[in-house]
Amino acid sequence: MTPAPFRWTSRRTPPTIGNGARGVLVGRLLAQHPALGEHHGTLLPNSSMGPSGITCRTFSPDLKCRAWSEARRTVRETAERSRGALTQVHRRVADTPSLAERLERWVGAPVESLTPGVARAEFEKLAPPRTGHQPIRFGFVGTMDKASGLHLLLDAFEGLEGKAELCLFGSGDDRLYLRTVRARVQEVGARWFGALPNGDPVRAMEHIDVLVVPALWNQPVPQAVREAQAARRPVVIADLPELAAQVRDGQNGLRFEAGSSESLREVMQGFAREADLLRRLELGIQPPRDIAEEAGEWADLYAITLAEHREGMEDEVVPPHLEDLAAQYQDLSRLPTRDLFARVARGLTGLATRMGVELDASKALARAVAAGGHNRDGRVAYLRLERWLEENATALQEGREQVAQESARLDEQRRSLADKARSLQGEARGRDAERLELGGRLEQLEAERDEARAEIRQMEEDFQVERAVWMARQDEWVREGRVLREHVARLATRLLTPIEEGAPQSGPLDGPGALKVADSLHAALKRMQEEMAWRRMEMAKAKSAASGFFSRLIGGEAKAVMKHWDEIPTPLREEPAVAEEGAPRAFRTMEPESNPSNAIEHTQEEMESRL
Amino acid sequence: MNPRVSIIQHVHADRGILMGNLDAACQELDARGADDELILVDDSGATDLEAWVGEHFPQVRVLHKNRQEGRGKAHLMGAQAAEGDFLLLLGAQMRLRRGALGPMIAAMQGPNLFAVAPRCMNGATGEVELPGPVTVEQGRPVVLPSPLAPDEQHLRPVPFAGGHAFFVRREAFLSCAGFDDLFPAPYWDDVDLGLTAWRQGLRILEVPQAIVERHGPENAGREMPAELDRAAIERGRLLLYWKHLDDRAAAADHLQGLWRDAADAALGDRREELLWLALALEEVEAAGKARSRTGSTPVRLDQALQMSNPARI
Repeated sequence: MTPAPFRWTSRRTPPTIGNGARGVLVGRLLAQHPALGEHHGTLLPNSSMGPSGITCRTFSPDLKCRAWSEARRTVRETAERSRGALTQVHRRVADTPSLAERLERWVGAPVESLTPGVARAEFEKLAPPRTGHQPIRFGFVGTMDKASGLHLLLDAFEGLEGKAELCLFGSGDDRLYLRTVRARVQEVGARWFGALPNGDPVRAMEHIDVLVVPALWNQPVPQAVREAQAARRPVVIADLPELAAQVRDGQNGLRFEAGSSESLREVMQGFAREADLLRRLELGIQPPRDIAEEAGEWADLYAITLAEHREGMEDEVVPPHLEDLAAQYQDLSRLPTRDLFARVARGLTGLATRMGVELDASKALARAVAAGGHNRDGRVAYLRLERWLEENATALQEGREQVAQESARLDEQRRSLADKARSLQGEARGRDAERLELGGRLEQLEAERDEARAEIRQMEEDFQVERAVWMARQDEWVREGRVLREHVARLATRLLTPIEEGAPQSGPLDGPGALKVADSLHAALKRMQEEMAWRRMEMAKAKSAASGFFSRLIGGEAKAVMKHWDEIPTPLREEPAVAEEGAPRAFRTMEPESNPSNAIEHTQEEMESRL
Repeated sequence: MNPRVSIIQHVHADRGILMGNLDAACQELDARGADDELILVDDSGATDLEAWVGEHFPQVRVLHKNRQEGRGKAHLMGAQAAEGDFLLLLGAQMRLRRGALGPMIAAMQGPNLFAVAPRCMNGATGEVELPGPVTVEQGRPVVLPSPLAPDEQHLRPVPFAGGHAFFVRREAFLSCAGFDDLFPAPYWDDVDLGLTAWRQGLRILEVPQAIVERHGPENAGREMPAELDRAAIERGRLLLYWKHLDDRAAAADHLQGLWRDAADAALGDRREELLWLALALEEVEAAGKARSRTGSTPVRLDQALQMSNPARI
């Protein structure tokens, strides 16, 4: 069964507001039918799924309705926004001169053209197209949508006579179209490769001998055309203005009537008919520009744009006397690098002439290139260094080992010192703590010492007072003792002399009276002797106590006191005891509390208890 | 007899700094008590400067320029109007320190002296700006850092006196018409004048006892885009060398080196370097004429560079 041929009944129209508005309306209409998928505002008229009736009415130029006015306004506003955006940038660049011209008219501002390049080296590695008796391989590479015209290519291939293959690379988002096309691919016996793996166009070119571009709209030149030319594959292309400019018909490719599968089939048939056509067209192909060249041109454009932009900066004012220099600088800044270099080259030639130096420019440039850039100087220096390093490698290796050993030794030493330092730090911390503790204790002891000293001073003062009192009493006792001794002596002399001589001196004393007096005196004398013995014993006690702590306080004074007591003469004979009552004071027994010896003992006990 | 001194101060913009500069200069002249003069060359474009100066410093003469032409032209204008035996040329930021004139006048009594340079210090930081030797590295003149310590107190040869402060005989300055027009930006013009003097057998000394201070921003008077500033420096560097290059073999080497630099810059996409070179090459004719104006020079360039090295003595 022969399938119904695909036909394209509508071609892209000039970008007027009316055409744009129609496109908007059609797009909105088609969007109401989800089954159409990504329809891109177009439809194949004989498609069973298309709302063709509505389409025809929508495309009527006489349509006057609210939706039409809105669509026109939308198009106008969108165009204004786009134009406004494009006028605000510093530079506008298009792929081709004709596109640049069209855009320039539309934007109202200059648009430059910069031809894209191709990574030629990758394509130049490919084998040339197959010739001879092998079937010729036609190929399609690119986006698969209605505007691509792929259906036309399938139609043309279907009726082709002779041995030929058709390889299809690419994909698209118009699902309905893709489904239809894939069905047709199987019908006509083409090969479907799908999307290029990793976008690798080189692999696609391996499978084809002739690239076919059946586009239905005047698109900017597809990159696939340049890639095919880089791979020396002739191109069969629709005769739309943008596309046709890329191919010199009959020299490096062939053109056919856009939208006509018959015309395309006729052209394709030519390769089967004419054996050397492919070879001839291949020889006519000029390689496209390299991508590096394109990149250089972009870099120049950026540099120039930046330089121009800087000129416009208001905060950078050039002094009047430097305006000429600034203008010169700006003029030179605008030159692309190659023109700038050419200018420098001319200037250097002039300088050589002016200096009277004969220097051929081409030779000088050759020598300059041969000498390499300053990076080469660095490389040469590096190579010298490398050579020197190689020559001294052994010595350096030994040195390195020595350094490594020394380093290891120093590391070990460092570790040891670090350990020692840590240990010392620990010790120091311990000692610090101990020192702090001892310091605290010392302070406490010093406080106690100061307190004891104060107490001792107080006791010394108290003792001195008490001692003075006792010394005064002592002196009184001594004085009283002397008086008493003198009195006793006088009394004894007066009493005893008459007895010894047998006759009274001052009056008659006889009989019992005299005996009574003698007994009384004798008793008194005896009592005195007892008292003296007791006092000597007490003083001996005091003397022995003076050898202890108290002796420091008493010192020579105690001895002096005792010396007074030693001076008391011992009576030659016993005297009669005298009755206590009515006896002179010196003969009375002393009360314990008034006894100086007891007082000293009490004082000593008190002080010892306090200390 | 006490020689007359004309102080010529270039005025650019900042009036606060100017007030301080004029005050210091007037005090110095009053202290000398000689028949000196102070001339102000107004390069600021301000119309009321003369009245302002007349009010605050009536003894100061003001010369007004119709068009801003930079420091070099301003100093030449002042020199042409001056009457002193000696000129002290000061940039807009330079301030005289008390007692600076005496040592410079004394130093100028030495033989074969073209000019003396006072010691320049930063007024804010006290940092000394010592002039270093000039040498040629990879075909381009370079001013190296000074090898001397900041406390150096001896008179030393210097390759040039900075255009912002130097002391010169008026006749000598006028006979060479001041700074060369080849250098419109304030770079290399002073080096060129110094080298020209050395190559003619004259000397330039630095006098450490005479001190001038720099006040205000470093780039006062030469505010312009950084790229243009750098381009002016590099352009002037090449033109200076082309003006003074006096050895044929060195010229051939230099030219070959320039070819290499150009090719390297183009291949390495260093457009600025190409721009600098192109800017200088635009002035080859002017450099040739400047070279002719200098006339015969008894001292070779390499000798002049050697003799003017501050570390030589």
